Amino acid sequence: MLSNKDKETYSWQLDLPGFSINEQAILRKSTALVSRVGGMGGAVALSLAAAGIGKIILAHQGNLRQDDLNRQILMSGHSLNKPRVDSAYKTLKNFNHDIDVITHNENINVDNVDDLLSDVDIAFGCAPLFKERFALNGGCLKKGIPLIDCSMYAMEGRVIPILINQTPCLKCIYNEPPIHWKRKFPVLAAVSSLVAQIGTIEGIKALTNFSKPSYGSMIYIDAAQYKIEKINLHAVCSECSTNN
Amino acid sequence: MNIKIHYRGQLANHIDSTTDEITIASPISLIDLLTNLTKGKDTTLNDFIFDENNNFRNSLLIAVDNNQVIDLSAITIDKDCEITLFPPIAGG
Repeated sequence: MLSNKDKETYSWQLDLPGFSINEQAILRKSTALVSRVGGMGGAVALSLAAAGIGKIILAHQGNLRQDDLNRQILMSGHSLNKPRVDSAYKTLKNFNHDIDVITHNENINVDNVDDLLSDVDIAFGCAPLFKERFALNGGCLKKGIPLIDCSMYAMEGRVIPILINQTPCLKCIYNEPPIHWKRKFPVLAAVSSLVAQIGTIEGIKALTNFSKPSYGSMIYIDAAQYKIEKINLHAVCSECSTNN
Repeated sequence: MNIKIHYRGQLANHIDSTTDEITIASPISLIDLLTNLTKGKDTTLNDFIFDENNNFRNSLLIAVDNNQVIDLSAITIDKDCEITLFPPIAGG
């Protein structure tokens, strides 16, 4: 159960409808894997830390670059050329010392995904490469772990909560990367964070069930027009069928 | 019938447009509607929707009135609607 300190720390969210000490205790016992800690994954991790999740596992390879600093909110300008996950670790632990943070200076791939998903209760896909997203999708399907896929481009965002047997998976929706795809994407930190917050809300719903997750939908966010819509998804792909 | 078509993600950037509006006089299959839509436009739109063998690309999510379309040829557009083309995005 929760300590007295936890009860005080989280007292404001314990007033949420349907969110009681039981739901907080579920969060406290939960482990989330966040794939990449850039503009979106960093904001997901920070909000999970604020909500009081028990453990966050971060996977992101490489060192901080100058041009990361417009959006990667867990970083620090003092940490250029140092591992991003180290900066992320410090920021998260400074914010909430009571959570466990495990870092991996590597990106998700088909070879490491099973290990990285060991003892994980939920995963957040926030990587800029489709091969990482597809690897995480495959790993989560195999292990039956809920996946919250969060993506953005310019003023647009998409959040897809995925759970095997209940929803289409990422490959049901996009079986391959798009034509004319470019690695560099236009990004404003505020849009990344906005999409990340919706993804985090979906993740907390999926973990605690305090409110119904949007399973079977893609949440579409248009920050230019301030519009949020749900796209109803129907497909079943070979990867889902294989794992079902 | 008035049909509004929305272009999302990198597609909107590539064709420099977010929306088209067309009027059709009689019901039409979605695949024919999209084929007609690409005529007279830059080939990029066609590339996003159809591959070199003129098959529908698996990398594009198409929704009609916010419902994912599985089989383009099975859908007939016979009333006012909104069609949205979502190429995958991966920005984080």
